[in-house]
Amino acid sequence: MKWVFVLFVGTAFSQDGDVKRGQAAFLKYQCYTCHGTVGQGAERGAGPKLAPNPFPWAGFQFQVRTPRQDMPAYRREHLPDQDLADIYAYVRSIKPSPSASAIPLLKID
Amino acid sequence: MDNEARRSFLKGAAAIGSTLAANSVVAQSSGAEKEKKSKAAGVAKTIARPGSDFMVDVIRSLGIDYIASNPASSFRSLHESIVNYGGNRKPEFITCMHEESSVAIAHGYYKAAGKPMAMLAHGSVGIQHAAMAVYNAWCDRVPVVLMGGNFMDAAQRRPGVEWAHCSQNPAALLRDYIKWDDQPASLQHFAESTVRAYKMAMTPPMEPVMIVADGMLQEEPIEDEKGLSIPKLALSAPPQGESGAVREAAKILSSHENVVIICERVARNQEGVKLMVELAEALNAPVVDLLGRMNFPTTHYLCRSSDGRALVRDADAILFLEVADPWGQLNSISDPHHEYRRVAKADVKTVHVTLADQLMKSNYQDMQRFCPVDISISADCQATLPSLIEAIRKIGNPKFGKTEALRKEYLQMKARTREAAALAWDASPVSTARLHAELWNVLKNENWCLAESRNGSWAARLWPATQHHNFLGQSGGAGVGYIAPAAVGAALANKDKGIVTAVVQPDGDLMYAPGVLWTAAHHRIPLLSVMHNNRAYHQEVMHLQKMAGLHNRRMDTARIGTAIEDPNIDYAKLAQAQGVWAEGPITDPAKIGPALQRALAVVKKGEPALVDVVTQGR
Ligand code: HEC
Repeated sequence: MKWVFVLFVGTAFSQDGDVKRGQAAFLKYQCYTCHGTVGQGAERGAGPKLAPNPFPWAGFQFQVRTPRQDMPAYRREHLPDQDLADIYAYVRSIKPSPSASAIPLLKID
Repeated sequence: MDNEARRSFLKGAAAIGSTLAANSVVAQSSGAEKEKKSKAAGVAKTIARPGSDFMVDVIRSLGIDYIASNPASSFRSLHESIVNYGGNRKPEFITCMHEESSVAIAHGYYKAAGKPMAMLAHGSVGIQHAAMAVYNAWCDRVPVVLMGGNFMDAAQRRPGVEWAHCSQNPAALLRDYIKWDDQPASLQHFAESTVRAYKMAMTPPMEPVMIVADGMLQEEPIEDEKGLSIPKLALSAPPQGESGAVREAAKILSSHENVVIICERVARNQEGVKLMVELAEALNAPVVDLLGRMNFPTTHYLCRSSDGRALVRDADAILFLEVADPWGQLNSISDPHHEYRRVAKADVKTVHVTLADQLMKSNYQDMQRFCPVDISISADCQATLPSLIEAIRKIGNPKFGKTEALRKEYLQMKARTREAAALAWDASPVSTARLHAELWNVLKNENWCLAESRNGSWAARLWPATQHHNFLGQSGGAGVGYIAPAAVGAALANKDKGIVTAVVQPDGDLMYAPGVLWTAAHHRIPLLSVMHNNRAYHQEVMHLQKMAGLHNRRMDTARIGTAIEDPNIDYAKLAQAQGVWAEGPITDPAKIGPALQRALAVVKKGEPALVDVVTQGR
C-alpha cells in the first residue's frame, strides 16, 4: 500500500499530461475496450463510465495500478507514469454529452 | 391427390422416364452379391409410393410447416417426397448452407411461432455440423424436431462416401443434449416414434428430439399401406405445482417485507406475461426478468431488471421462476481472481419453481452450481402461476404502501438508463446505446420483435416492450453463431403475422455461417439486421486483457487473435453478394437513421435487409 501512496505524491501534478498523446495511449493500452473510446462505459458490466467528471487523479491512478475488483491491473512497467498522466489528461478533456432530455431519440416511453 | 389419381399420374411419369432408365440397375435386394437389373428392357423400374411419402404424411400430421436443411443423399428420398409428393408446402423445404444454421433457424422459429419446425441432416457429417446448435436449443429448453438420414443396412450402401456418411447410432453424438431419439425400423415404427418424439419435445421441459429416417425405408415402396396408421397427437398438459407446496410458497412470499421475483424461462405466450403481471402485483414485488423469454413488460413499474444485484442484496425472500442459475443470483465469483462473494443476505428465504430437476444429464455442465432453497417446486411455471397467485391473494398482502416508493425507484432506474445512453451520443465508432435508440426509432410504430435480446442490453433497458413476441431471449448455451440463423427463423415465423423482425447482429456471430443471409434472400424472409460491428470477438479481447493483467504482462497485444480487422470485413458487400439489400459500413451516427428507414422499407416489402454499423466494443 505504501508505495502506492508514494506514487501518488510523485506524480500528483501530472495532470498537465498531453491530451492528444493521452487519447492515443487510451487506445494503445486498450482502455476503450471496457470503457468506450470516450469513456462512456460499456454494456453489461464490462466497465463503468470514466467521463465526464473522472475520479480525482489520485483515485484514478490507484484504480489503474491496483484495481478494486475485476479490472486488469496496469503496472508501471507496462504503462509508464507519463502515459497514464496523458490518459488522465485525455479523460479529463472529454466534454459532457448533451443530457438525455435534449436528445429527441431518447424520449422513450 | 387421391390414390387413384396418384397411380395414374405415376404411370404416366414412368412412361416418360422409361427410355432414360432403360439400362438402370436398381439395388433393392438385401443380398449384396445379387445383381438386380430392371425387369425388362424398355421398362423403367419405378417406385410408385415410396416410404418417404408416408413420412411426409406423418410430418404433416404434426402441423410442421417448415423443414430446414442442407440437402444430402441419406435423405434424398424424403427430400424428393417433400418437394413432389407434398408439393413443398407444409412442410416447405428451407434451403440452408450449414446444419448449424438449420437447427438455429428452427430454434429461433420456435420462440417466435410457439411451435416447432423440423430440420434434416445427414446422420453423420450433418449431425456433426449441427451439434453445437442442438446444444444451444437444449440449454434454452427449445423443442426442435431433428431428423437424420442414414442407411442402416450395410449391404445396401453404395461403396465409398455413403459408408463414410452412415453410422451405427447417429443420435449418439447428440444424446447428451436431446430429450429422446429413435431410429425406426419400419414405417409404422416411424409414425409412432415421430409422433412420440414431437409430443415429448413439446412437454415441458421442452427439448430437442431426434428421429433417424433409414434410407431404404425412405426409398423402398410402402408394402402394406392399409396396415399403416399415424397416431393421433394429444399434447400433454404441463405439470402444475403441488398444491401444498404452492400454499407454503405463498406464505413465505407474503410474510416478508422485501420480496424479489427473478424469472428467466417462464412465459410461453402473452397469457404467461399477463400472469406474471398479476403475480407481481399480488405481491407488489419488483421483478428481475433475466429475459430467457419475454416474461414481464418493461413498462411496468415493477420491472426492475437493471437493478437485480441491488434488489437481491436487500431481499428478504426471493421467488425464482425457472432460473437456470439461481446460485449465481445469490452469490458471485469474481473474474479473473475467482474470489467468492455472497451477494444475498445469509438468511434470505428462497422458493424455486423449476423443471430443471426433471431433466438433467451428467456430461455437459449446463446444470450450474447446486443451489439450496427453502421450497423447491418441480413444475411448469406458467401452469403453476394461477394457483400461486390465488394462494397469495387468499392470504392477502399486508405490505401496502410500498407502491409509491416502487414507482419512484422505477422512474429513477429509467432516468439513469437514459442518461447513460446519452453518453458518447455522437461518438464514432457508434455507441451501442445510440445504435439501439436509432433502431427503436424505426421500430416504434411497428408491431416488432427483436430476435435476440438479453437482460442488461440497451434494448431491454430502453425499449418499451409489452408483448411476448417483442423479445425472444438468447441462445441458451452461448454457443456463438446462434444469432444470425435464429433471427432468420424468427422472421420466418413472423412473416405472415405482420410483425417486423429485427436483430442487432454481432460480426463474429454472423461469420460462423454467413450463408444464412442467402437463405433469407432465397426464401424472401423479411429480417432487418443491424450490424453491431465492433470488428472483434470483443468479449475475448477483454478476457485477454484480464489475463495479461493477471500475469503482469503487456496489455496492448490483446487484439492479437481476437480482432476481426486487417482486412475489415465489408458486411454490406457480404450481404449484397447473397441477394440481400444492404448499406454500410456506417461510421457517422447521423447516417444510421436514414439507412434504417430505407432498410425498413425493404423489409416491409417482404425481403431481408442489412445495415452495417461500425460500433463501439460494447
Ligand atoms: C477488461 C476491462 C477493462 C479494461 C481494459 C480497463 N478497465 Fe478500467 N475498469 C474496469 C472495470 C470492470 C471497472 C470497475 C472496477 C473494477 O472492477 O475494478 C473499472 C474501473 C475503472 C476506473 C474507476 C471508475 C469507476 O467508476 O469505478 C477507472 C478510473 C478506470 N477503470 C480506468 C481505466 C483505464 C485508464 C484503463 C486503461 C489504461 C482501463 N481502466 C482499462 C474494466 C476495465
